[in-house]
Amino acid sequence: MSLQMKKRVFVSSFLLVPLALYAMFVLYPTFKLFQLSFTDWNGLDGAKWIGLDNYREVVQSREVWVSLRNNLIYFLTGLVGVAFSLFLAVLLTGKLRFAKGFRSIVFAPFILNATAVSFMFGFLYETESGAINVALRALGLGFLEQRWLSDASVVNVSLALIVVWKTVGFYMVILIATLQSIPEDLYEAAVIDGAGKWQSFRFITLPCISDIVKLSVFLVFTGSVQTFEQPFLLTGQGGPGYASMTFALYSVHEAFQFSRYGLASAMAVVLIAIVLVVQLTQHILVREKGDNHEDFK
Amino acid sequence: MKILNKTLIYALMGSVSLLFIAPILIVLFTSFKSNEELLLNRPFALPDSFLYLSNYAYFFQVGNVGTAFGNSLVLIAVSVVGNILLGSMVAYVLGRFRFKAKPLILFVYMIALIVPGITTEVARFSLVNQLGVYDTLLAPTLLYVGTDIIQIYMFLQFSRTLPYSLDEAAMIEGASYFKIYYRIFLPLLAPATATVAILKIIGVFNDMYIPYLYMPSAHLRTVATLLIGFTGDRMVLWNYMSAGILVITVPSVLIYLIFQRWIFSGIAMGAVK
Repeated sequence: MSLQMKKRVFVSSFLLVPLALYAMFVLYPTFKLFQLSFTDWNGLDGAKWIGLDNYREVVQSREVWVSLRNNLIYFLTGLVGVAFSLFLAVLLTGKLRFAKGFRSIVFAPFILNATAVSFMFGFLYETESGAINVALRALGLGFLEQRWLSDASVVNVSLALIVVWKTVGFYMVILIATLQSIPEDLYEAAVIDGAGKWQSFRFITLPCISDIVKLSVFLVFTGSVQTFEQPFLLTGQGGPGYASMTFALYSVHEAFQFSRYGLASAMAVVLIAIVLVVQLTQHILVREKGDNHEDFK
Repeated sequence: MKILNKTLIYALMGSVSLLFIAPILIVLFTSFKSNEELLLNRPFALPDSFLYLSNYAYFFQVGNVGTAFGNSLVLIAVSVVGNILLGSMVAYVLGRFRFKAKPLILFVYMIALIVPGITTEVARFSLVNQLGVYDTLLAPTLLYVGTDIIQIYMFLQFSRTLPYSLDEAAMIEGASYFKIYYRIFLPLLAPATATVAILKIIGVFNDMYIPYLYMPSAHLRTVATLLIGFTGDRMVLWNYMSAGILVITVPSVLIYLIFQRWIFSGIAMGAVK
């Protein structure tokens, strides 16, 4: 066997199983999704081609728009979370005692079981016995009491805060890693040039971390459009009414509760399109700055 | 002024820490409270006795906790080994060889990074059904091994730091490609492998969606889906629930305390991506 031939046999044999699994469980379902989105398939009978009807229904459905608005609330709350992470990260880069211990504590929720965390907050948010309302009452702030999970006007923020609580440490850690990679002498030079604290932050720190901040914003975005667990576990699948419904939860609901796989597929395609557009935008924004994104091209 | 500043910062750090510790403490306290204590609605109060274990007893009795941990362990073991083997094989081929289809393969793998996993489940569901693995441990295993590709990128990135001269030296001595992968590439990958393994263990242990969707049978509950069975349609009794929350949280915390270093380096590695 020639060397070239040997190489070819080896490469194919190593790629065979992983690619076969990948094709089966990622590529085929993605393709199937597009196909199903044009049909009225109910999971059993033969699917009938109905053209763009599903997409029309997605656009016209009130519940879908409510869900999207709720996803937006998760996104905005998540952004506040990233700002908080940045604040903590900057705080921790100063020479502080206990910085390591503090980092460990704030990061810990990220590795905890999301189901456990959700239920934990379910308890904290209870109207009568929940720790949050009890604490507010004890502090004489009873007027701030809320029905955190059953009042339509606060439920989404309540749920989004669970995600923030769980992920603040994650963003803090990646931001700290980036901050530590900024060379110390940049700051020293700035001090010599007479820069104050705020100017150092504005003109050295911010530009150096802008890419990782953009990445964080993007991660918050993809996370928030996929929100599922919190409303699924805590508000009886999107309640009260549809007040805490999210896009992913609604599509899963349509598929597995009402066997409307066609409609759910169309929703999935819309979601992919949204993510794709945002990802491309992010890519262009990062590219603009001539950043080295050579990896994995 | 400077001292005041420092004090302020430490006070701030203290209160932020409290924000992250207090919820867990409240659940811990509640898990040792009887129904009567629970009705007093004093979540911040210590329990009358930390030896009141009947919530835990109830959880272990009703919850089938042993089976759930067993199922989670099986899923973790198979998917961690599968992911590391297949991931390192792909990384070896993509990192060390030049061939025509390579750009195409890299492009195809990008799709999984773009398409949110939760969306394709609708179409994947019927496939899993047709394969006859629905409601078996095989379904999540296949999905974890087949759809997660992040380890490929982590291995690829790490393998760039491994000197190619080692491969060449082995080749001159007549070692086969497979032998180079098995004897040189894979062992040198060990630091990345540790990180991948820990992140994967945590990921599978915590995943609720896939087991919930593909393994509805009660005897196939995993640790992550265990609590769902506890809510039912009657009111949640938070002392029982708290015991459950703690039981399934303790393993994650232990893993975290032991492997913190790898977790942080893995997060940093992932972020560079």
